[in-house]
Amino acid sequence: MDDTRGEGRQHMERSALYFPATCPAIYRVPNEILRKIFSHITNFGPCGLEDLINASHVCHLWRVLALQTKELWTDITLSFAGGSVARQAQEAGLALERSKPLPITVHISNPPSAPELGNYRELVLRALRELPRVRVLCISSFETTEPDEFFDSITQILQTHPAPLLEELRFDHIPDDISSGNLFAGQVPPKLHLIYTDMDDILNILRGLPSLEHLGLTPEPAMAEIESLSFPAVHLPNLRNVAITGYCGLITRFMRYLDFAVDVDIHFQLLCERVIDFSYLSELSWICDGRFSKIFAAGLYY
Amino acid sequence: MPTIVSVDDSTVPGEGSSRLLLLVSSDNKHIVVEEDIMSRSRFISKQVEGFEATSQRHAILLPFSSFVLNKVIEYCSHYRGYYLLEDDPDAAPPGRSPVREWDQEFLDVDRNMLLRIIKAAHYLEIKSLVGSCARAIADMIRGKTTEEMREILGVENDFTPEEEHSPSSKCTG
Repeated sequence: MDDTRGEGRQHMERSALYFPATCPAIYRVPNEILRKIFSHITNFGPCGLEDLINASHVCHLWRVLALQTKELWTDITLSFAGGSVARQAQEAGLALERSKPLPITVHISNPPSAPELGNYRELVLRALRELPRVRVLCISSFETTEPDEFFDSITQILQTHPAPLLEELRFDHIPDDISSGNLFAGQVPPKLHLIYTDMDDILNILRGLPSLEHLGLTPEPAMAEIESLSFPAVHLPNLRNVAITGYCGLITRFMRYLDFAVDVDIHFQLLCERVIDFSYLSELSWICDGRFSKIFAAGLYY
Repeated sequence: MPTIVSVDDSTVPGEGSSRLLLLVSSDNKHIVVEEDIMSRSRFISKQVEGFEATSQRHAILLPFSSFVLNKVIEYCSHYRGYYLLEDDPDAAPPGRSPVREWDQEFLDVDRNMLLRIIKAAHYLEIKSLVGSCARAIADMIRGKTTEEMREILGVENDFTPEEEHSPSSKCTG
């Protein structure tokens, strides 16, 4: 065996010119592999789209493959941390078109400064109007100094467009009046995972999803607590399943505000500080007592 | 194309605790390898299942050179006994992940060799190796202009000048 491999290595070393170079190897690569290479190009953030568009200009075959493979265009990032807004807007617009009718992931962050904000806003609203086919929506790194009407438009779309495919919603700043009405035209996606930074924000979003049945929550490390002591409870009478990962204290304080029916499957992944505060565990078990059909809690120590 | 031929008993070493396979490359090199090592290849595994139905010993003919085959065997030997998520047909497809450190060194070969390895891995149905090669090729062209991509991978520009400058066919995206 070793001898065989040794021979093979020697052969490899001495046959650097073994392969005829009459036809570049790339032409003998199956289309399926080219598609896989394209998918890895697009896997790395906002520049992925630019790279994919450049690849689609290489030759006829690459262009046909890139345009036919709608999955390649489904990760849409509207983030303007640098570079030309017009070009990035054009790329994102192409991706919105080319991904149809597949479900998409939309990341919205880092709006440009005032002169270019208009184009950006149009693009954001255009992407949000695709809510019926959005699977993941992430809105982050928005300054609270953005014009109110921008947030009003976002809120209006989130309230008036159904999002039946939405599985994950992530906000680090949400418009203040988002809880003034039901979200997604009252058509709640069957299963929603929320990633949150502010507890009151997440409770406000949940207030707009009264018929939610399956809820997943993951806290951001710097999650802020609720400031008001008189924060009203959130009613989720249809809740059937809840899965939360977070510090025991945060989960307990969060669960205080949830009003849900009995017979719920509960799954907590508790992150525990070195010194466990048993009063939280005790309160959590009191909150859940008699209201679950199944409960699972596991702890991770830091 | 048939990939199995009968061979006589003297060609393939016998029935020890670890069965040996005879792989025959396109340049007619005979390479003996432990079945266990090649079990990462779904293609080889399926062939071996076929062997069990008969009492004959077999060699597997492969449509790529010993140069490439030895690289693939080196990869499979390195990960012998390891579970790799990408090779698990029941696992969810892995998301964004960089090329493993060892793979990076292993795939530090010229462009043509890299493309031949990915083609062989595809033929042998070794998903983890296909994935690593695809990521390595994507890394080569990421952040490059169209012209640079052509140059790096040796692709000819077959657009006509009209197509290149026509807004409806290319340049607008």
